[in-house]
Amino acid sequence: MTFTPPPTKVFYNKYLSTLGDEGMGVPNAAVKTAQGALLAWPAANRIIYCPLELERPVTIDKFWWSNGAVAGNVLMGLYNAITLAKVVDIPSTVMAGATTTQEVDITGTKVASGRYYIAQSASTITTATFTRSAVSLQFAKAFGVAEENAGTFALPATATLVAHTVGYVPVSGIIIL
Amino acid sequence: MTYAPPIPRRPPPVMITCLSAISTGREIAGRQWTLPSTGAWAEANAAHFFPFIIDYNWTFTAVKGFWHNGATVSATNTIDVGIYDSAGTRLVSMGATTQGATASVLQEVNITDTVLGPGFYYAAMSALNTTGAFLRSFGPTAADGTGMGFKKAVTSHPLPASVTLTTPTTSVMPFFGFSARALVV
Repeated sequence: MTFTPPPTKVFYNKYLSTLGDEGMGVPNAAVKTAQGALLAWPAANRIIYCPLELERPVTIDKFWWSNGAVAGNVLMGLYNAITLAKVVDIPSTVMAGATTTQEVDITGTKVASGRYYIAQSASTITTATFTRSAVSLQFAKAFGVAEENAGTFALPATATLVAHTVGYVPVSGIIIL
Repeated sequence: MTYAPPIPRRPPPVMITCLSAISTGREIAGRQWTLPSTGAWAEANAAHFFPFIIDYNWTFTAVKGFWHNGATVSATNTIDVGIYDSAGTRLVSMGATTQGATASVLQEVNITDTVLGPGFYYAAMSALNTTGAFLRSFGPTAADGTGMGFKKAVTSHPLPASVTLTTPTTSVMPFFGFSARALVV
């Protein structure tokens, strides 16, 4: 007779976010960081990388973020935290739907369990705002947030992380099948 | 033959602190501890320890240590950070380093790259004296920290090869940790 251990977790939350359990939700809650007021992206074309830990393989169906006022375009992608290679991303997408969650479909992409970064960039700091955590810069760094300022509105094939300069954690993430 | 699906195991985060989900972050959040604030090191030559786990099938390669300086810094104080196994045997430490010149920011230090396999560990931080300040979390009673697995060791600066872990008399835990990537601050 073979013993089959019961699975410890059958269902997975479909919305995985920068501030969920898979992201920085636990340390962010531990320092009592409030969800801040809607705020413009800190710099046009800046890419902000937020850590995400997947404990099991998933198939990504969509990316999502939380709009304030809308203007310009958004990029989002997922990066392997070890190799810093881009795994999948969305095309440049016009912000639409003020004060709503905007979702962008992708071709279902399987990713293994492991450590990743959710990357997000915005093309303009004029008018457009996003929902974000008001975490302090030092805590954001200590939680793993980093950024890249290549000067163009694009997500590179390989991330080059530099120190985060303004405490800004966007509320965004992936939706899995 | 019966198929047994793999049991999900959480990978360690890129930065491990006492606020991490694999450490005591959930307890601290659930108990609504006071917002971390600046304060002096409580006892000269004492070391503080917080527990963390590396789950089955994962490893964490610690390449940098860091702590959060408080509102004042002292050129006469030295700090050490390190990692111990559950038996109190040191796996890696930085060695005594002068507190940096900049207040209210993270200070990072290079450590020997150390691979941690699945297991139970303690992260440790010690200081030479009570000058300078550090950011730290604390609960209302000593029992709060004890109940989460916080430990303390006296006369432990720089961090020794092995320690006798004791029950702390306060729940204060300085904010420090270890990074799996070279970029910290």
